[in-house]
Amino acid sequence: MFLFWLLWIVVVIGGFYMGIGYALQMYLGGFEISLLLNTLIYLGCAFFGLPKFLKLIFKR
Amino acid sequence: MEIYGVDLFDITFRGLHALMAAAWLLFDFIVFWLHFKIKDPNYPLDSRIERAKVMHGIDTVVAYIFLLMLPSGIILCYITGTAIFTTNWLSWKHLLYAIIVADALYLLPISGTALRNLKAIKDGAENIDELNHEIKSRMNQAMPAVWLIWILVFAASLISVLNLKVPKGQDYIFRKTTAQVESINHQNHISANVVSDTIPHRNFVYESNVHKII
Repeated sequence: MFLFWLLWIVVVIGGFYMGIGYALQMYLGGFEISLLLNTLIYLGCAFFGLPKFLKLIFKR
Repeated sequence: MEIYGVDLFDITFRGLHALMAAAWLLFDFIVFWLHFKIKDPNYPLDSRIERAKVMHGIDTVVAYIFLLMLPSGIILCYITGTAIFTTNWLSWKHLLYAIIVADALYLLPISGTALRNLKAIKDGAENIDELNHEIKSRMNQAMPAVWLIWILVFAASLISVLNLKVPKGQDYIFRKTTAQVESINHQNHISANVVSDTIPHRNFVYESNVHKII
């Protein structure tokens, strides 16, 4: 169970942290393909995991 | 905290991060090696279950390593003074990790199928062929993703090795920073101009020597 918590914490919180960080960097420093891909994939994973993470929290 | 000039905090996190990557590569390979017999229906059932249990245990360790890699890497960035979002090589490494995260989410529903089905067979399930077929097809479905993760972890490790930093001063070991390269180019440009300005007869001397040789 702890592993599931860790999984969704890393995927959701880590995903938002990295995705928003790279999005901000792209906004401030200009476009670069690695920044765009990082933003898309990390935010994609975070949004994918968000319902499962919320379900895990409110199911308790 | 330092002992004999070694920053213990720095070296511990570097060592931990490197060890995690090495363990990830090794354990992933062991899981790959174990899966051949697990999906083989002609192999004794008890041995398959035993192997599936071992594989499941190793997979759990791999999952912990995978999940703790991001926080440990972010801590390492702060220790080594590497900017997380503005360092070019690191953004490519993060991209590899992002693909691994997406890959892991793809593998999540597949994991555990083998052990579950094998236990069902042992408990006397009637649809043995169907369960065996599911184990085989699920494992074959997972293999490209597993190999992709292995290759990406290896590539990320390689990127890290090429961008290793000296613990004190945090300069790159194997390469120069862009600022250093620009500084060297600038110095070379200045010295080239000085040479051409102060020794105008050098080309003439060279050409005259060539003329003598010819």
